[in-house]
Amino acid sequence: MRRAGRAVGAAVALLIALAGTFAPAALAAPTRPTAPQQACTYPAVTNQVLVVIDFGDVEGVDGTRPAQRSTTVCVVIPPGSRGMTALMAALDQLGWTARFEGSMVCAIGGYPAEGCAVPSGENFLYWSYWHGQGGTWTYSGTGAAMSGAKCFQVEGWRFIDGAPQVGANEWPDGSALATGMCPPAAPATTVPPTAAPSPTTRGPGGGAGPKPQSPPSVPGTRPGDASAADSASSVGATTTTVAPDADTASGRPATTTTLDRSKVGAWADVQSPEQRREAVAIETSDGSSSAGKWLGAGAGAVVLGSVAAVGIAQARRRRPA
Amino acid sequence: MNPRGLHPGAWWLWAIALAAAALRTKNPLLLGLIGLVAWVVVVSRRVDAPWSRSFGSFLRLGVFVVVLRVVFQIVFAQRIPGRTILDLPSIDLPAWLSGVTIGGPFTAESFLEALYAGLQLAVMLVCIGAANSLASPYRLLRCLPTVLYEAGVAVTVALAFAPSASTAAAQIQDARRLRGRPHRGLAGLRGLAVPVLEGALERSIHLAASMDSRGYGRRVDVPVFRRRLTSLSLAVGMLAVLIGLYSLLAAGAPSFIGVPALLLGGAALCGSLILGGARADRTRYRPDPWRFPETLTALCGVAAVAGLVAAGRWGIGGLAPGTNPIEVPTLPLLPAAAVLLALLPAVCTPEPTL
Repeated sequence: MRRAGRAVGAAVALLIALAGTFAPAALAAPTRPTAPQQACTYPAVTNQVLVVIDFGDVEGVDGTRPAQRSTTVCVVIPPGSRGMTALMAALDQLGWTARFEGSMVCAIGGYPAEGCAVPSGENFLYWSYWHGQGGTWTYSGTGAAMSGAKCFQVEGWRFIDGAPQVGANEWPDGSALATGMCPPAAPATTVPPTAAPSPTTRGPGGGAGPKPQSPPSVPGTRPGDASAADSASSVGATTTTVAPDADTASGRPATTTTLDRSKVGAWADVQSPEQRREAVAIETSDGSSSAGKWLGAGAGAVVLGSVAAVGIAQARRRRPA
Repeated sequence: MNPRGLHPGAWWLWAIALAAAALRTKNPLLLGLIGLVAWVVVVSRRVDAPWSRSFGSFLRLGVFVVVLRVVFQIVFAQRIPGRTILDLPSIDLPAWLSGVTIGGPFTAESFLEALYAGLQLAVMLVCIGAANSLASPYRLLRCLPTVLYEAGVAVTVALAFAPSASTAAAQIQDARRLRGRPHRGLAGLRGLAVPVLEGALERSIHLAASMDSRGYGRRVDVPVFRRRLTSLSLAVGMLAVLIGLYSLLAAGAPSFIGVPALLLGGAALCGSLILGGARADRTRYRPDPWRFPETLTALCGVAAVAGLVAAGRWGIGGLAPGTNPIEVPTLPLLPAAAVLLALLPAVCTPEPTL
């Protein structure tokens, strides 16, 4: 009897835990109509991926958008990496951070300031995730922690209000798509893993390595602009290589850095220094009252401890009775 | 106050409200507070009865759920950026299995997320365990509406006979061991099943005979019109509740009919229960009274969940401390005060008696 009861209990616990594990995965990819996925036609010659971050035009959201609506970054990631790796590499390069709930991207560059996929009417305000290929955007059917960035050469992120129709008005800034890919790979300066510290550290406070170059391009210049494309061959670009994912790590050098300033500036379409400072200020202001937070946590622990003491006293009082 | 057991419905309302409150937060401090409140009330107001020992097993189940949730996170969770604390080898699954990953780097952020989610489930289990150990299941069954009386009696009989069946099984096992017959494993089970089933059948025939001789199952003659009205109101109520729930929960459905349909359906179902209750002609023996302490207990639970819902609506922070980037959890004032209100039944209810 007892054994059967335990087995039933274990089965129930298993079910509950399973439901808990996979629920966030379901959340990570909101159900939306997706265009039929095209077969991957790009030969995976380079591991360069273009990441487009588009802050969109949704009104009335807490948090400050950069003055420049969209930002395009070229990153080099190991083959077989996920979209998340490309995004993190791009954020590292920009000096921005992201906020997550599970594997769901809640905020990029401190925007929006709080909340995650906040409901707005019948829809949700969230960072949508797109693959760009062959000149068109496709809404990603899976989350960025899931889908490979290897054959889609452009990864798009745009903050949208999730209105039912998917169309040009919801795509990330498309000018990067017109040219399609990153600039041709320059001869890489491979740094042996032992010779130098990792140029990119991921996670909060990342960016211990060489800071991304400030853009020589005028704010507002889009990669697709003819002038920008022309100037592309004359200005400086930053291409950062990230440490390979654990799933592809075997046998690869830990870090490779390609810094080629003689090439192409438009790809490193980073913001102006003032905007960068502004963006960083948004992020650091969140953690400013950490002393107060610890105080709050301590007060909470005191409350919990006193309730526990009351319980122990009650249990002692009633035991002899 | 004279010692008496509280109405079991009050304990269940209180516990379900606390569990609902736990559903509204992922703050480990608040969740811990809810679990502690449930425990304090249990140690203050439980009696020495078989069912009141179930709190410990629910607690163990909760710990097991937390551990299992973290293990699942380590093995299956998606690879999200953060501070790696454990780097496992990973397998890339085929495209048709997208949505599942195995192994990969396990981050501190991902661990905290699993811990909070597991804690939430565990605290809800603890709340249900509290209700189980505070309220007598037999007395809860006696509170069923009259129309469900027969089903309630069947459940009571089953509950009462489960322990006696296990005793009978132990006796038969002993007898077989003394006779040198196999009493373990599959062979032992074969020899055990028939006598246990036979004994159970005999006991139920005895019980049926004694219940029959005492007038169980006697029905009152109900007019045809009233019988049809009962069925109609049951069908309408079910349909309305279905429509109401659908329009409330499904995005894209017209939401304005949700609440009215749910209210109408609830009223129709209550009506059908009352109308159907006239069929069974019976009286209650010493019904549990519902007095002020019962109302207070139920209200305390409702206050806890209301405090958390209100905090969520008014945008009071701290209900779900972020895990990526990691935030220090703090105890938000209003929800904590609301949860502490649920501690009142530990002192404001009469001392229990068996």
